[in-house]
Amino acid sequence: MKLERVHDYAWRIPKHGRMNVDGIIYSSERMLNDIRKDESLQQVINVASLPGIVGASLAMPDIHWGYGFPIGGVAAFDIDKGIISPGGVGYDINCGVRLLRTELEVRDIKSKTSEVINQMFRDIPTGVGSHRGDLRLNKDDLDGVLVDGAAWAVSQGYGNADDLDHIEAAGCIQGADPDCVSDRAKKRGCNQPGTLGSGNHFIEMQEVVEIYDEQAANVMGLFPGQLTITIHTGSRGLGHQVCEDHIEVMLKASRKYGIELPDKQLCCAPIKSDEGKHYFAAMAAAANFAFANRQMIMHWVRLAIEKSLQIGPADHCINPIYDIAHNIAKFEEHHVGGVSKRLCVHRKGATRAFPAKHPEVPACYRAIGQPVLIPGDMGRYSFVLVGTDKAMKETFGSSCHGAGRVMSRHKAKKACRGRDIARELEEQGIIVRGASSGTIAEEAPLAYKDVAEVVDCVHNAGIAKKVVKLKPLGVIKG
Amino acid sequence: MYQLIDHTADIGIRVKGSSLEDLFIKTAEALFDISIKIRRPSTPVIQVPIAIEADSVDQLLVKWLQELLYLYESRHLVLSNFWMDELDERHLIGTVKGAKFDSTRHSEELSIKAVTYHQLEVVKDDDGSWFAKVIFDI
Repeated sequence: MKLERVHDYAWRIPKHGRMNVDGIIYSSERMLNDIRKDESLQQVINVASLPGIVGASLAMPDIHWGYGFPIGGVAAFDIDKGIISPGGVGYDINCGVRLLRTELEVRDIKSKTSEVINQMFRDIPTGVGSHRGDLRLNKDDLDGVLVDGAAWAVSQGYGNADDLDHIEAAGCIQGADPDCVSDRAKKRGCNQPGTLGSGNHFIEMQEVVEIYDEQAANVMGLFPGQLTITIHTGSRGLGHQVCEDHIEVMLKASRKYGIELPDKQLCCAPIKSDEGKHYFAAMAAAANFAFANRQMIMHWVRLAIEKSLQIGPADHCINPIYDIAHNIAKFEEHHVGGVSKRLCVHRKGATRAFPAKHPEVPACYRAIGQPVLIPGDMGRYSFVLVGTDKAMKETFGSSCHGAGRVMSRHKAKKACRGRDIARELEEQGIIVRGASSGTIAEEAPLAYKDVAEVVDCVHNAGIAKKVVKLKPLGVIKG
Repeated sequence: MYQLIDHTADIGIRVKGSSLEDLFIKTAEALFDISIKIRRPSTPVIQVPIAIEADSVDQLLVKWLQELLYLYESRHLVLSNFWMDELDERHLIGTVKGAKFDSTRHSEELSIKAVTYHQLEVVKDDDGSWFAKVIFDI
């Protein structure tokens, strides 16, 4: 495939064939060799062929082969001529990351890491069909979750109102309609708030080990040696069902509106069509479910820390730094050709990275830019960055979302055969608990790109700026 | 019985069946074979009727697998026996049988979240046999 160098960290697939726009891939030359090995670049081309796409079909350096959009894909669509696609959001709608700060220093609690991890593993259900025995939402409650998101959780005593200022879109995507969510989706969701789920979802205890931007770190309340906690999960079975239901609708809609599909998973409908509006209202509801889920998990993380360390809220001061979605479609204002336009931005395995002074960045971060949370694999490190003006100009205010897989789950398991990954990590001082040893092997560090390399790409390309590096201490896996 | 497709983030299968019915049964068996490791088999005592309609044969296959996945997620059923009472390219009436997930007998090898339409193929060969390619979301 022909790729033109834009600069050291960006490559162009020139518009050809049925592409409506160019493809732009943010990557170093070295990482591009891995990216070329799977079918993700073809997926960038497929997305470029969708009607009403604006600018370019973008891919972040953690790009890898997904279904429909590539994972790490970003595409914005014109409101009048463009489409909305469930394949541009994914099954796990508003899968995302929440980072918590604490007033605890790792040196004071390190010897108790396994007690904390064990307590979290007991208190927060993991695994594919996991549910809470102590919580089953009735119809009104679930509708509250779907309409109000994290604010519903706060109204029920899970966290406090200040938390909402530290969540993308204040933890609630406007326009959600529970009537657009099927009964089956609601049934799948009613006992799943507060559960982690499976696959690459996790809760991780970390230590702040390096500071790159002191001013931004200070604003976020981060300091060297500090304990932080990251929660990574999404909308669980409810979101999967919303996607499944609407793909069926969109397959019909694509035929109805004469949209040619390079891949059925890219089925879509015009944004302003009934099908498009219906999907957005259901997707927003599922996204709100995910915001509430992470808000509630944070509550149980707080309790698990209190129980295992025998301390009170005033001792740990656990508060969210930020919570971001990385599988979502949103309406946003962007400058295109010098004109401000409202666009529908799809981020599939990519995070919003809005700059300082942007009105959608909460007041507390308006001087530094929106925090961008990039978890790595469980053996190495994670990063916190901030959004930049350049991201706003080049990538519709988007950046990468993680390390990105480099090895399939099957290959990872094969490569780990005969090895005890949990024990190996424990020898490095990282405690791991997982629903199954299979999950731990699938998620072994060797299956992922080095997140430092991914983060250096976005930093050097200028579409996000490094603030701190976090090192894992303990993790529970789904 | 089936071939695994090595997808970077997810997983897929290629399955051949001597008939459409055989294809549907083999893809169902593959789904559970990938997801659950059975240490000691349990008697399949729970029976669930299934009825599905679709616009095309490939959509019918996806909806069939989605239904089985839903039974596993919502009722924790590890399904092992599959019958078709009626099956053509647009509708399926059948029965599935299995046992509740039991951690002393079963372990979850891979948690499949969804059945996708990405690169989906359901094709009939000249000799009447069928072939399917399905990618799952993990």
